[in-house]
Amino acid sequence: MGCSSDRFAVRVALAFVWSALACALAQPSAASDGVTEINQTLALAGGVVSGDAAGFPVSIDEPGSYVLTSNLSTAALDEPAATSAIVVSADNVTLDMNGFSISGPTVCSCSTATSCMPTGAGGGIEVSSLGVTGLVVFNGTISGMPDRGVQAGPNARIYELTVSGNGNSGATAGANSLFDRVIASCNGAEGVVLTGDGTADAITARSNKLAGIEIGTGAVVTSSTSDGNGGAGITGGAGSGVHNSSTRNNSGGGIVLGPDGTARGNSASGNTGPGFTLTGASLVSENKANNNTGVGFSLSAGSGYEGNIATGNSAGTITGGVSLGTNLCNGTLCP
Amino acid sequence: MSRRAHSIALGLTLCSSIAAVILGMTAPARAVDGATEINQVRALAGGVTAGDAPGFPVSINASGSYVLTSNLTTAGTTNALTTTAIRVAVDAVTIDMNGFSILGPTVCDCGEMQANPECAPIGSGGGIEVTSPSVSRLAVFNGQFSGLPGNGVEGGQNSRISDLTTVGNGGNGASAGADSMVERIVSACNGGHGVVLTGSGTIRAVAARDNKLSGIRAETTRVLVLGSSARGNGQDGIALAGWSQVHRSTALQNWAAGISAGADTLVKGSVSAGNGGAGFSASQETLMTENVSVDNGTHGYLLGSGTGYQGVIANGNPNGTITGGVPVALNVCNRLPCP
Repeated sequence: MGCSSDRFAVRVALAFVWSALACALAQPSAASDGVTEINQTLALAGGVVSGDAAGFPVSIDEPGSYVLTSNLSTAALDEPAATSAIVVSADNVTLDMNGFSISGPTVCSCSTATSCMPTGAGGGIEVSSLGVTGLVVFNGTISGMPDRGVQAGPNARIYELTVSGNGNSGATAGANSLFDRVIASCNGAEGVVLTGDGTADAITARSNKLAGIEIGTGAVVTSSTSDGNGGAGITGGAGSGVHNSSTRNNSGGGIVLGPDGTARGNSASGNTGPGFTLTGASLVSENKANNNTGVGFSLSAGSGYEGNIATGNSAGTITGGVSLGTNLCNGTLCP
Repeated sequence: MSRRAHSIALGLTLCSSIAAVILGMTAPARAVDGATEINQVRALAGGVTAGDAPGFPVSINASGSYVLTSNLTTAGTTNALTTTAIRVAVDAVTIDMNGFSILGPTVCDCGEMQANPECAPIGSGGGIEVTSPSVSRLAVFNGQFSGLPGNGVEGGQNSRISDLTTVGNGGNGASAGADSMVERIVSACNGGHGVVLTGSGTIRAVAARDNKLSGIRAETTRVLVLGSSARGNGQDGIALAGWSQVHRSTALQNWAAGISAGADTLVKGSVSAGNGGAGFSASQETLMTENVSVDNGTHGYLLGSGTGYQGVIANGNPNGTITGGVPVALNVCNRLPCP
């Protein structure tokens, strides 16, 4: 009788252990610090969050903190061109890529005429609608996606990323967003796009099919380089500013800003087209334009300029604008 | 108790303990790297640090490194309007928010260019705050604040507030005291200012939009604002006190001045357009250089005595291009050269 009692107790205990294990396995996988893990295995299994179906895309519909614990790849899927890796439909999602990569099936031939195949709707990390706010993505690489590497809505922070060889733009974010320390190369459209205001600092954009860096109304670019892109090196909307940046060998001009902007402390060399193009009532000061195929500085009537250097530009030094001080034109002092 | 019942009880106890560990209901107090964990469960249980009572606020009474391991929410707590999520009472505390959010019960009406968001309910309950301005060396980074009745994050002196999103809080989005650094902040639709420095320091790479008061505000002297944008805020876009500087920034469509500066300030390389007041306003002995002021509601530049200006652009401002000040070099006024 004693032995049967002990066996019964053991069976009861084992039943509870198995139940607890089954319950635990049904929960989202959490790293030791509470952050929800995403990896290739979990993506294919589904259930990263409740409502996430098996396979790609991983659907994030809950705000919180997420971390990659492996590379993700959509290359081997049935329809890889149309499939995104991660789609975010909740506000306030932070995704630490943890040094890992998201990759897809697309291959881009990399030059000022970059072309990518296949292209499609499949992006790396994207929001389900452009109203999704507060996405944060950092610390990883996204390449070979048929669409954008990253597409975020407003109030986003995108930093410490490499986005290369994607079929559309490398990284795009909505109004009031921050880009910081991003490398965008060889993408099938723009390198980095800030569709509204915000800041872009320490961006490297190279060999993208269209503009290297594109910013919207009231945005600021600082300390960035943009080389060998199929469009302009840096383009900006009305009231935008570009500072302490370099543009070289771009096919659509060096720096092209909408009305009423400012360009200070920049260089534009070897671009096809003007080194600097500014419209409206803009300010151009302390910049250097050399060996561009257009004019060094193409300015509208209401713009002011001073302290610039224009050397060896095929179509002239400085056209338009109002001289506010001394400049240097082909080695000679000028308005 | 019979032997059978005793065995069952022991088994149940053992299995419950195992289940609790597996389910993370009794997460270790310290993360793998030794930082002290803060999460919703531990906040409600208390004991995050010695003297931390159950419930909010989590009271940090020991210097060191802390990490969030879940979102925190004060919504649903008793007195949620006056309850802060984390209060820091000692110096030298670092809080890695680990990508998580601190949330509250407040909702702010944030539409596109909604420069006067209405937030309700509002109160004194914030996200992370110091118990007094003298608490120094708080570092907070890598997280989000939303829906707090009060301020999102408030540091004391020598704070580092970075890599944060603070949206839709009833008070200021982020603030810090003297000799602090605030950088890489997205601050939108808060019921106070977007970002505030109450002492000296640096504000860099801030995007402040649609806050009810100013986008970026320096309340005392010796503040640097660098590479930031302020759009659609209910007062000034960027507001400085004296002995401060603004460089490489933009202020668009704010309801008062684009950039306002106290005495002895330097404003350089910035754009102010479409604001309700002056594009740039400055009190005495300020230097305005290489700025653009277009289509503002009143003056392009409204300058106090002893203020010098050079290389500025003013266009389409109905109350005048440049009022006051002393031209140091040429400028452009409505597309023509001017003093």
